[in-house]
Amino acid sequence: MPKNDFQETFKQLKAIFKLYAPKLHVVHDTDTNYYLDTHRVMKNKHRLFFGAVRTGKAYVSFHLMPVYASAELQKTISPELKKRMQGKSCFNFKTPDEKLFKELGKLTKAGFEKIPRPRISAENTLTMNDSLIARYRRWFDYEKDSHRKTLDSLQAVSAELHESEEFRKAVYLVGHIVAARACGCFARGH
Amino acid sequence: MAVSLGVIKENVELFPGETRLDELPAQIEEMETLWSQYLSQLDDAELARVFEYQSYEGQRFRNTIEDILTQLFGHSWYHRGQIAQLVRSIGAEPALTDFVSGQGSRWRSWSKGSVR
Repeated sequence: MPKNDFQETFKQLKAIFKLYAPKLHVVHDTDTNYYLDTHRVMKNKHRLFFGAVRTGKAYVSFHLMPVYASAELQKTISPELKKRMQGKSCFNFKTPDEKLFKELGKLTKAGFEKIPRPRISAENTLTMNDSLIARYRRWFDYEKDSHRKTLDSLQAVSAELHESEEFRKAVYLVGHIVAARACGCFARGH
Repeated sequence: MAVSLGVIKENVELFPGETRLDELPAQIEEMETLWSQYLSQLDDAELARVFEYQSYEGQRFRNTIEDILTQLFGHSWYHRGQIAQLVRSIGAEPALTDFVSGQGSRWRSWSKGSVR
């Protein structure tokens, strides 16, 4: 076993978090920084941090926020893993450690289950993401309404202006909006 | 560069060279039907799904579906503004498409005191 193997250490620690990525918000995903937030938005308008793996100069660090927040979780940490702790929620490694990574996997699972559930909204039915989904649907209703109005405005333009460059471009842009929607595409920077 | 959710419709020309006004209503209706179906099935898992794609130049990117949906709405807003400007530039009346004056506007309801 080499003295330091940051690349393999990062890869294995990232694999622990990756299991939960579909249910979390991936903020950074680079070769040296894998950073996850929960979908819970706090009063400061930022998402609640869940955890991260970061390659530093001396260590690969595994940050697990639920450990910081839960005394109950802290009690479950083995003395061996505690030796790797820096602060209240960070564990440092230079090489992979099968036994401790397995324990981190269990700790991460327990931490994931402790993520605060979204508060019930005033309507008593919508979760936070339900609200977001409802918003997208409402925005799309609005967009449909805008399509009708835009089409009406173009149809109201007198026929002699239909060959003007401006009119043709306006019609083209409606076609482009529809095409982008139809294929679920957008042109980056366009 | 273009990206695709891969869930809507294939073989669509993103930059349609020649667009005819009389073709647009049918195109809009078809697209709206597809999107209404997609949005009706949207759930937390789909929103959080990380979507990987490759640019025409070969660069790879990753975004969540939530990010891409937001981008798509922004894309439509941006171009509708351009359309309004073009229509006004030839002396015609552009559509009033402000969100706050549109369908189901909460602002109007608010002014009538029916919404908290």
